Order: sequence, then C-alpha cells, then structure tokens
Amino acid sequence: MRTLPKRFTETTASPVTGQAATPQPVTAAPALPAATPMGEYWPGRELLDSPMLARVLLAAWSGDACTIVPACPGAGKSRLTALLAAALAHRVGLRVAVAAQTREQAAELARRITAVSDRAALIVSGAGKKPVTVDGVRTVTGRNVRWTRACGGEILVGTAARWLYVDPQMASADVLLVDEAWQCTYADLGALGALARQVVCVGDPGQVAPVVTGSTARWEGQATGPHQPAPVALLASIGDAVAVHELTSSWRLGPQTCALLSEHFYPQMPFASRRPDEAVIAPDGSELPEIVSYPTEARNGPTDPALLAALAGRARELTWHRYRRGDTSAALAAEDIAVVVPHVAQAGAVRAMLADLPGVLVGTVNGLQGLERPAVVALHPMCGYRSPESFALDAGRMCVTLSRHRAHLSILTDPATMAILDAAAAEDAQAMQGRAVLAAL
Amino acid sequence: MSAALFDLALRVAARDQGGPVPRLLHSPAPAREVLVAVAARRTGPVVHVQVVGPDGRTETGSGAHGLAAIARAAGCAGGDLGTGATALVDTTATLRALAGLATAYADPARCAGLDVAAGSALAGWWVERAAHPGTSAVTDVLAATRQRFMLGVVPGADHAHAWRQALSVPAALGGLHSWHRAVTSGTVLPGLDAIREDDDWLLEGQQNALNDARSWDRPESLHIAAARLATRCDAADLYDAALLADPLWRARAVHTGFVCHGEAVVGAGAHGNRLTVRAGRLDTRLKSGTAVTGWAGDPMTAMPDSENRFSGEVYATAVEEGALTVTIGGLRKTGYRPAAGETLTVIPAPPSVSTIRSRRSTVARLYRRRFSWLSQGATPTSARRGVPLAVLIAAADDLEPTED
Repeated sequence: MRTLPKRFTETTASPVTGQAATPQPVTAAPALPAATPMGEYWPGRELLDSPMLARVLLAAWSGDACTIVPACPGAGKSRLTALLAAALAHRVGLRVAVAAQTREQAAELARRITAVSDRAALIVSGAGKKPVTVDGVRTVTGRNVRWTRACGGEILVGTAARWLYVDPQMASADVLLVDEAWQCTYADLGALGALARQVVCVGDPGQVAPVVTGSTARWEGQATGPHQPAPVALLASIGDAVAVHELTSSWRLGPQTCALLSEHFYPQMPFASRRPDEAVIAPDGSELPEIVSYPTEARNGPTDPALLAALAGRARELTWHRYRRGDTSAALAAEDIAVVVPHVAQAGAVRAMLADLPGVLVGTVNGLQGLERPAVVALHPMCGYRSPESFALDAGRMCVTLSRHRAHLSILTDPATMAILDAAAAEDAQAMQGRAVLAAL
Repeated sequence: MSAALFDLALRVAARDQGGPVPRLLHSPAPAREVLVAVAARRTGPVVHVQVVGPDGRTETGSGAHGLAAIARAAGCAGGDLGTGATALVDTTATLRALAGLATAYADPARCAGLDVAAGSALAGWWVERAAHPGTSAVTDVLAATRQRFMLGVVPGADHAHAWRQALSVPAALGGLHSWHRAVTSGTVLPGLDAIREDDDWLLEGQQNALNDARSWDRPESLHIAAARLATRCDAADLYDAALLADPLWRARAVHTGFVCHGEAVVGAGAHGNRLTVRAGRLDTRLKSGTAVTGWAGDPMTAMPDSENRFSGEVYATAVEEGALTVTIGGLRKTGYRPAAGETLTVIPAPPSVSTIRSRRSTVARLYRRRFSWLSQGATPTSARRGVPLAVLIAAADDLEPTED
C-alpha cells in the first residue's frame, strides 16, 4: 500500500489560475515565516538592487512553477543562484534544493551560498553519519540528507547526479534551483522533478550542450528529446507555462565581445556590456583591442607543433603586459592568463610548453566553461582541420572559446579555414555560422 | 604521436602486408546462437526485405511479407522468438528501413498472421538494440570489421566492397555469414555481459507483447525516453571500457589520453594511502575525481584479474619538470599495491554494473512520483505566495545599476 508523506496534506498554497494538473506536493513552508521588515537586511536582499534579478526573485517568491533564466556570459549566474537560494530560504522560509552539474560547481556554489547564509549544506559522497564542515561549508553525506529545520528555511546543495539518490520522501524541497541548467538533460531534470514542484533553471544557452555518450539518433530533430538541454525541452513542451527572465548584462565581457557574441550566438537575446573600463596594456603603452586574431599556418593537423608553440609563445608574451582596471594597473601575471583549446592533447602539450609558468590556466573548452581570466589565448576550433568537423564547428564550443576573457583575447586562426567553410557553407548551417564568426574576428 | 598517426602507421603496415592488420585482439561483436543476414531497402512506401538464415536459405518479401520472411529465416514464425536471432547487416540503411516497417505492424491485430507479428517484434528488437554498442542483437558487419582491422587504403576508402575483397567474402547477402565469421573469430571483448542482459530484457518484453497479442510499440513518455537514453549511454560507456580491456586498443589509447603509462614515484602506503605515477605524456584524460584501475606493466601487458590490479580515484594531476604526475588516492588496502619504481599502466575504471542498475531503479522510482508535473509531462500550475511590495517595485523598475 502506498503511504502518503506526512506533510502531504499540509500545504496551504492554492493555485491561482488554471486547474490542478497534478496533485499538490509536499511543501515545507505552509505559511510565510514571521515577516522580516523589508527595510532590514536579509540574505539575498541584493537581488532588489537590479530589476533583472528582482524579477527572478519575484517569479520564484510568488510561486511560478517553472522559471527559466537564460543568462549571457558573465551575467553573474552563480551570484544569482547563491543570492536567490539565500533569499528564498531566509526571507520566504522555503526549503531550497540547489543542483549543480559538476562536483566543482557544487562546491563553489556551496561556498558562495555559505558566504551569505548560515543555513546551507553541501551533499557529498561518503558513508559517515556526522556532518562535518570543510572550508566553512557544512557537508552532509548522501544517505543522511535531511532537512534539519522543522519550519523550513534551509538550503541543500548537490550535484544533479547526487540529488538523484536523495530520497524525495525525506528531502523533498519547495523549490529546485538548477545551476548551469543548459548542461542538464531533460531526462535528468524529469527525474529531479520528483524533488520539488517548483523549478528555477539558470544557465547560459550559448554553452556546449550536455555531454551524452549514447546515440541520440532516435530523437533527432525533436526539441523535447531526453538528450536536449532541459530548458530547451521545457520551452518546447510547456512554453506557455514557463516564466522566462533573461539576464542581458555582462559584467565580464567588453562591448566588442558582447556585440560579436550577441550577433552570432545570441540573436534572440542580444546583451550588452556593463563591465567597468579595463584593458590589457602592451609594453609600448598602447591598449590591446578586446579581440585580436593571429593567423597561424597549420600543416600537420590540430596538434601541429607550430600551433602549439604559437599559443605558448603568445601566452608568454602577455606576461610582459599590464592589466588596467579603471585607474589602477598592475603587471599581467601568469595567474591572469588562460589558454583555451578544443582538444585534451593540445592542452597537455601547451601545459608542458608553459611548465615554467604554472600559474597559466591551460584547459579545454569543456573544462574551462564558467571560468574567466583577464587575458586569454585561444585556438580556433577549426585550426588544423581540412574538412568541416562537427565537433570543431559546434556553436557552443566556439561561443565558450570567445567568452572566457575579461579584457583581451588573442585567438589563433588557420588561414586555410575560411576556404573550407566557404565550400561547406551552402549545405551546412554550422559551417555557415562558423564562416560568419571567423570573418568577424 | 597522435592517434591519427597511430592509425596511419597501421594503414601503412596493412598496405605493406597486402592485407588487413588487427586493431583488436578480441572480437568487438558478440552474437547469439542464431544469425540471419538481413538487407532491407525502401522504394517509395514499400520496404523490400531479403533474409538469409543460418541454413543458407534466402527468404524475401515486401511489406508484411518481408516481416514474415524475417520470422521464417530466424525460425520464429510460430511466435516463439526463442533466444533471439542476431541480425547481420552491412549498412545502417537496412535498420532505418526496418524501423518503419516493424512499427507499422507492431500491433498483432494489424497483422495477417503470427509470422508477421513475430517478424515485427524481432525487427523492432533489432532496431532498438542497434543503438547500443556491444549489443548481441545486431551486428553491423562493416562497422565491426573497421573496428577490429585496418586496411591499407586511404581513410574513407575501406568500403564494403574493399573489405569483401580483402577477406575473400562472396558478394551476395549470404556472404555476410562468412564475413561475420572472419571478423568475430576469437574471444569476445570482456565486460559486455550487462549489455547482453539488456538485450535479453527487451527481447522478453517483445515476447510478452507477442504472447499477449498487444503492440510492442508503446507511446514514448519522458520516463521511457529517459530510460532509453540511459541504456544507450550505459552501453556506450561499457563498450568503451571493454575496448580498453584489449591490449592492442590500449596501445592506441595511449595516444588519445585514455591510457596513462609511467613509473610509480611514490608507492602505495609510502605517503598516506596514495600512489603517484610519473608519466612522460602530458595529454592524459584522467582528472581529479576519475575512478581508475591499473596494474604493473606496459599497456600491452594483459590486464590481470581484479586481485592483481589496484583501484582508486585520481586525487590530483600536475605537470612537474616536464612530466605528468598523477596522484591516486582511495586505494584498496588488500590485493596488489604498487611499489615505487614499478612501471604501471593506469586506465579509467570500467563503469560499475551494480551502480548502473542502482541508478536505473532510482531514476525509475523518481519518475513514478505522481505529483511531479515534470516527470509526468503535465503542464504545471502555480501555487501562489504573497510577495512584499518592495519586491514588486524592484522588479518593475527599468533602470539597471551601474558598477561603482
């Protein structure tokens, strides 16, 4: 016999519109907690300082069942997630489940939330029963995940994969915040839906799609396929019931980069730079443009030593530059530089070439998603190829490549690429987009 | 060296030898007891099917008769699918053509006879399982051959005709049987049992539908789609891991970063429960958190049993003095524990079948939660809460702040 959860009938929330399509879920907060005067500080109150962020808070607070927040690169997604979780827990008294896509992202989110809230815990693997605190973050092991406050107002952070193993009878939440939601498949979100009746998806629609190792041919062309990014599938299946609030201010990218990315990768969501004035200054005192393309011949494929040496050489050159933010400037340190490449083998080789500069962050596009550095040296994904490769022409990969820098991007391009894309553009939409982007660099 | 250059070297060797050279010691294509060679092509709305059974007899037919031909060749015209027959094909076009035909006759009520319904159920099984690498339901003989051998021709020129010539395989459809025998000799890659169990599970479902005279083609809910995607991903992951159990494939995988090979500079037990391996190649795919297994010897050394392997999790990777150091923690306290100075091969640990099973049952339980509008595919309704006026005012504002 099925046993209803004890709190199943305790909800006082009532639908405002439409008919209840599904039974009501468990809710941890049947009523608003003792009201904190709005004038006083409460964790997450900073959201009210920006209308864009306040709209997201309003949607979640007022009870929209599904809220999607597409955000441009550098819009402050992690900050939004941290503040929103804190506000919903402290001010609204909700039980908030936060799902990240990787362990690193979950740990980083837990740190950020802990900085503004003392009611957060990170779900970690392990069999220990006693919660421990690591780097100021309270942790709880997967088997012992419980809400500890009877009256709600609490936050649990974990990876989406970890949340799948949490017993919804014991730890169902009022609202599920999905960070980097465009990296979460519809199939995974469907399962996570059992945890909470209200879902807020925050992410960047321009990023690399979720990694799916199996064949997806069965759902080719289906916007609601299980392999699709969850927000895309949600909009396709229940678009009318979804509240969409775009974050269209980038605090990382400069105006030139914003214009380039808006035109080619976010035509439906153009965004603008709100980054403070900053630049990389060359040794001769001139300011480097935001994006500079360096054509470099590659005759021996994507791992041509000429390409890799040029990447390492450019990164080394940048350490002779300065980094200006507003009126202050300092030497551009190795820690201020990243090298972004499409392939693991390229990253390994460049890392070796820059072994004397261990501070330089070298990684693949996938690995460096979500990270930023003042100056970036990148390899155009088509470098070394002599035919249009789907991997290299993936729009998400190109977009991430072009959006990791704050002040300056040096991008190495292959002079042979344009002719290849020209030839393929008539029949291949990816090639056509790739050609347009390359021409704009 | 890169994997592309490794493959080029194999092509050159094959050209010099005048015949195919192996890329795998094991067979990459498990099969069942009964094998049928199948070819199907669509002409307008009609699908023509030709099948050669294990007895060498050729059965042909179009539309429903094509499905009946499949059932006769596979020996299941009476409605008993038995242990299932493996379909041998040499092009994915055959499966695409069969997909629509099988689905059209999925409901026995639409079939003129039991043989048509049985052929539909069997073909439906093939089509669904074909998306799972390492399946025993279908073998794309051309793909399996390319996986196991390398021909001495330029990339893209190793088409079916070239392989048939190289392997002395007759040109007709019946030749697929001898072609299959030529490329699947020897033992099958280890670690594919779980995929076979999935094959069996789906076949049982097809048989049950046939016995109950109901359609095997269910409408696809998000739950079913998610389960199908999960089995595809699990099969792909298991198959990739199984390939690394083959020494020849490991030799290639050194150049793709999946196999790390080097010397233990800190042995297990010397510094906590951690082991540090120093490798010359820097392009490893191992990263912090990756579960790994390893053993003494170079990549071509046969993989020993679990008792003679170490297992753990990558704690950190770093480049020190031009070499890669991989620190592995969480080592088992029993069994083989490598000492400093030993030459080691480290690969990603194969997926745990018990974890796969556990995840599937967990996800299925979540999807069965009836209140979830997400898992049930329902349109949600909002349960409203009161919102303070200050939030409404802040959200209604038009001016974004500027950074100080």
